[in-house]
This record gives sequence, C-alpha cells and structure tokens, in this order.
Amino acid sequence: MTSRSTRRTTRPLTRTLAVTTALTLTGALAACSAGGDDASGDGSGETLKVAVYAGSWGESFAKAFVEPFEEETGATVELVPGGPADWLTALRSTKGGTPAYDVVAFTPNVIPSAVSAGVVAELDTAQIEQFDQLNEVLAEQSNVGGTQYGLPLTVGSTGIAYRTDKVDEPPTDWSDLLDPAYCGHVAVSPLTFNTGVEFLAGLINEAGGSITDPDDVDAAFEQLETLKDCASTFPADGTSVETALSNGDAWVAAHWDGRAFVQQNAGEPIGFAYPASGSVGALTSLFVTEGTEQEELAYTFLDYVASSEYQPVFSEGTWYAASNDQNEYPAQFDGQITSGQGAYDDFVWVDYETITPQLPDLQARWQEIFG
Amino acid sequence: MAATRTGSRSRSRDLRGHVAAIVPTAFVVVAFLLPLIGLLLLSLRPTDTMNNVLPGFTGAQYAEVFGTSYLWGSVVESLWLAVRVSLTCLVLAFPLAWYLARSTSSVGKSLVFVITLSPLLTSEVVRSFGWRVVMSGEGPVNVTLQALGLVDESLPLLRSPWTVFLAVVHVLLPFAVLALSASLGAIDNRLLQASADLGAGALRTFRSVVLPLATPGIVAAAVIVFSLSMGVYVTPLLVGGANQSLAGLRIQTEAMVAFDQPRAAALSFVLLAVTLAVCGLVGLAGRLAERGRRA
Repeated sequence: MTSRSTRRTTRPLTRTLAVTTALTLTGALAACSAGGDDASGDGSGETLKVAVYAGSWGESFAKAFVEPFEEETGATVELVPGGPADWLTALRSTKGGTPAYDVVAFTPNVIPSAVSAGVVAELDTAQIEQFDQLNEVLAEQSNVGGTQYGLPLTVGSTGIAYRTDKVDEPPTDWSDLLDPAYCGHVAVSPLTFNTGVEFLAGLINEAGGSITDPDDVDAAFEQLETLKDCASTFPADGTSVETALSNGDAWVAAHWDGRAFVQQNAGEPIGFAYPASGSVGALTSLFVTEGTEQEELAYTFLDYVASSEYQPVFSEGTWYAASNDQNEYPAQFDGQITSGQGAYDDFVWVDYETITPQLPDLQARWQEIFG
Repeated sequence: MAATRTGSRSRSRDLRGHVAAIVPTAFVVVAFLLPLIGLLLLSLRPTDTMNNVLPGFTGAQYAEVFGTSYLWGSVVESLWLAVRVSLTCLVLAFPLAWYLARSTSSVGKSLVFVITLSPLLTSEVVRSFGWRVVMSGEGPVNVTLQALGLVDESLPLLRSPWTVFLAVVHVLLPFAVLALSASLGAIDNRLLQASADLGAGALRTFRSVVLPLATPGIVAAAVIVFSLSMGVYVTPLLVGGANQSLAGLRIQTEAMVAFDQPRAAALSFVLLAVTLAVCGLVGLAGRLAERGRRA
C-alpha cells in the first residue's frame, strides 16, 4: 500500500520535473536566440534601475527614452517611481553598498544634499555624445562647486496659474498674489515644497533682492504676513496645486508652466502668467549614482536622454521644454513654452546650495505665519 | 499516579505554549524593537551643516526638539488634537457600539455595522481625499451653503482646523467602535435587569452598571485612538495641508525635506514617550476605576 502510494506520487513528480526541465531549456534557448537575433546592442540581459516621477512624466519618459533604448541595446530599464526626497533617502541608506538605483532624477533643491552625501557621481561629460548641445544655463544648474554632476533634462518655470473664470484681471507679477482682491482664494505652498521656495525667490527678485540675503528674506516674510488670513490652501506637491485650482480651493497659485498648460489644453479654465520681473527656473536633471555596477549602461542611457532626437517626444508628453538646444518642437508647444538658447537667461534660479541648510528655519518662520 | 500524569501533561502543554510563543516574540523583537533601538541610536548622532550623520553621540537633537517651539509646539499640538479626537470618538462610538452589541434587530445591526466599519475597508488616503472633495471650494458643502444663500462666496473650509479634526475623527471612529462593542457585548443582561428591578432608571443603570463594566473597553478604545491620533500624518496633510503644526508632519519634513534623520528620530522618540506616558495614565485611571468598583 505504501509503495504503491509512493509510486503514485513519484510519477507525477517525475513528469513535472521533466516538463519543467524541457520548458526551462526551451525558454533558455529561445532567450539566447532572441538575444542573438534581435538586440543590436550589447546590453542584453542587463537591467538599469532608473528613478523618475510617475504619471504623465514617467509615461513620457518611458516612451521617449526607455523604449528606443531597450529596443536598440536589448537592455531592460526598470523605472522606480517616487520623488527626489524618497530617492535621496533610499540612496543615503544604501551608501557604501550597491545603490538602490543606477540613474536618478533630482530637482535643484535636492542636489546639494545628494552631492554632500556622496550618493551621486561626478558626470563624465565626454561620455555624453550631445552634451555640447545642452543648454549652458541648464547645465550650470546641475553642477555644484564648479563640478558637473547632473545631466539637465527638462526645464519649466514657476509663474502664476489662475482660474480664468474667477479672475477678471490676470496677475502680472509675483506681488499680485498678495492683492486683497484674491483674499481667501490664494494657494500658498510651504517651503518644504519647491514651488513655495520659488514663490519666495520670485517675490524677493521682484523687489530687487536675493533669497540668499537675510534682509531681503525678512522683507519677503513681511510681505507674506499680508497673506496670513488670505491663503485658502497649502498644497505641498504639484498635484495638490492642480487639484486646488481645479476644485476652486484656489483661484491663484504659484505653479509650473508645463503643468498649468496641460490643464489648460485639457479644457480646464486655467491661465498662466509669466511674472514680469522674472519666472523662477525649475529643472530636473539625471544623475549617475555613486557605486553603480551599471555605469557603462547608465552612460549609454544618458546618451538617449540628451539626444535631440528623443527629447521632443518627452516634451510633447509633459509640455516641458528639454535641455538640448537643437530640439524641434511642434508649433503649439513653441507658442506656449519658451525654450532654446537665451530662453533661460532671465530666469531667476534659487541658490539651493546656500538655502538648503537654512530651509528648516525658513519653514519654521513660514509656519509661524500660516500655522 | 494519575495526578503525576496530569501534572506532566500540564507541563508539556506549558512547554508547547512557550515554544509557540517564541516565533511571534522573535518577530516582534526583530520587526519592532531592533529598528526602535536603531532609531534611538540615530537620534543621538551629531550632524554637519548639510545634515549628514557624523560619528559620535550628542544630546543636541533632543535639546533642539525641546528648545524649539517649531518642534516642541508640534508635539503639544498633536497631544491636544489626540485628546480631543479620543474624547469625541468615545462619545460617538459608545451609542454605536451599544447598538451593535445589544440590539436584537439583525437588519439594523448589519446596517450600522456596514455604515460604521466599512471605512476600514478603504485606505486612509482614499477617505482623506473624500473629505478633500466634500470640503473643497466647489464641493458639495460650499455649493449647498451658496445655494441656500448662507454665504456669497465659497468658504476656505479646507483651511479650517475643524475640518482636519472632523476628518481624523471619521478615520479613527471605527477603531473605537470595535474596541467598545466587544466590551459592551460582554455585559450580562441579568445585571441590567437586576438594576431595573431594583428601581434604577436608565441613567442610573448607565452610570452605576454599564459605565463601570465598560471601563476596559473604554480604556482600550481611548488608548488605540489616542496612539493613532498622536502620529496621524496622511489625513491632516491631505485635508488641511502642510501648514498643520502636527508632529507627524514635522517628522516627515525633518526626514524627507531637511534630510536631518537624527532630528526626525529624536522628535519621533519624544512623540513616542509622550504617547506612552498618556496611554500609561489612561490605563492607570482605568485600573483605579476598576478597583474602586470592586471595593
């Protein structure tokens, strides 16, 4: 009885093993043959972990850069969605070992901390074929202390988004956000979010000052005091700004041009004003992580990211200009977004190297007003 | 002989019980205590100007937490919110839990059960977004107020601290109902009957019979809701926004914006200590009340 039952259980087991072995061998042969026939590059079987934003940003990124890269190299790109703060935290926790990602997207507010923590590697610009075509102003914003760390990819500018059905006279400059006419309908982002800092920088720039000058910062905080009872919402990320405008929680808000135009083009009653005294630059750059085992593949990927062939595809999806000055955009894009050489010269850029260590204190002051 | 065998069986059962407890105990040690010890050590580390962690030990992070109104004020604000939320949840949960535990109408019970506890089936994020939609400038509340002619323009309801308070109460109320209904369900009907037979009215029966017997449930509900309220983060952020002066939001800011992990860890520990102290006091009060009832 026992031996029969053993035979009964053994037969299917043997059959399962045989089938599994056959399938595995077939799969392996198929994989070898696919690798040999289809992939023209030398990245077959390799995986590159790239940390970028989710949503339409990530979808456009995949369509513009990942798909051609995978097709031509045979390598696989694993996109890790999230935000710069999450990625920096993850990289700091894996420092010294294998980094959590091979390539990571950072905004300027995070770059000084990332460089100081030693989690991003110096960029070997000679390895990027079209690096010389990248906008100089943007490239400069991705370097720290004169050393190039990041490859600038996409640039937007922070200006003023407003509800066209609620606002009779569109705002023209930063201080218009303080206009009593908008009282009770102004979104004010905290300084823990880029747009909050960029609004503060714009306000200071309009008054002829600099965000790195404590007296100018004091004066700007005095201006913010006037918003104390007029702020209607405090969005802490880009999506929340959009939601606040869409839901009518705010009629005016400091916001990124690309995101506002996407809402406008989708039929929402949203307008966007470039402040007369200057928009504040908002840049996203890609960095190769320190200690990555896929450095060569990462540089190959960055070649695609820098290319004027692929960047316009990304811009059409996100409605943000990209860094290569040779990019050619559709007419509607050119009509709404300024890009290319000279377009960013008048932007106000926040000196995050100086501001980052002061941010907790500045946020505490912001909290005293709005908390 | 029989007694010896019974004793040996009992010891064997005890041993199996001990062995069975080892795995979950080890899990708690690894998953909770070890990270907590790591966090404690991190809170004692010094940092440089860019908030990179340096070797050595310092109490500076705790001095900063206790000495800065921005940080200490957030603990006080969290404490105040947690006290209000706990009391409100207890008051609201009591009749619901009573109905769930004592009602004879199975249809009514099922209905109340689904309405009260179904929020637990959705995530806190979804529930909080629901509040955002309802209280937004063009949401149902503002539209109704305007339609009734009570206000001319939409009110900034999302900015109101009351909106955050209500949303947190809504999110945590099911926990209080669950804890209380177990306790209220265990009250013997004969005690209520005896109280009525002795001439006590409903209020007297509630005060002298129900409330004392429900003390363990009240304590459990208070401790659960209070603990969850102290560290609440998602709901205030989504509903009220980043201007909320709550410790949960400050911890996130310190860890993910200033990248000052030791300070975030120190603030977490202070929050934990305050939470444990209050929960200990609530437990002690419950025990004293229990002892008073028995005396």
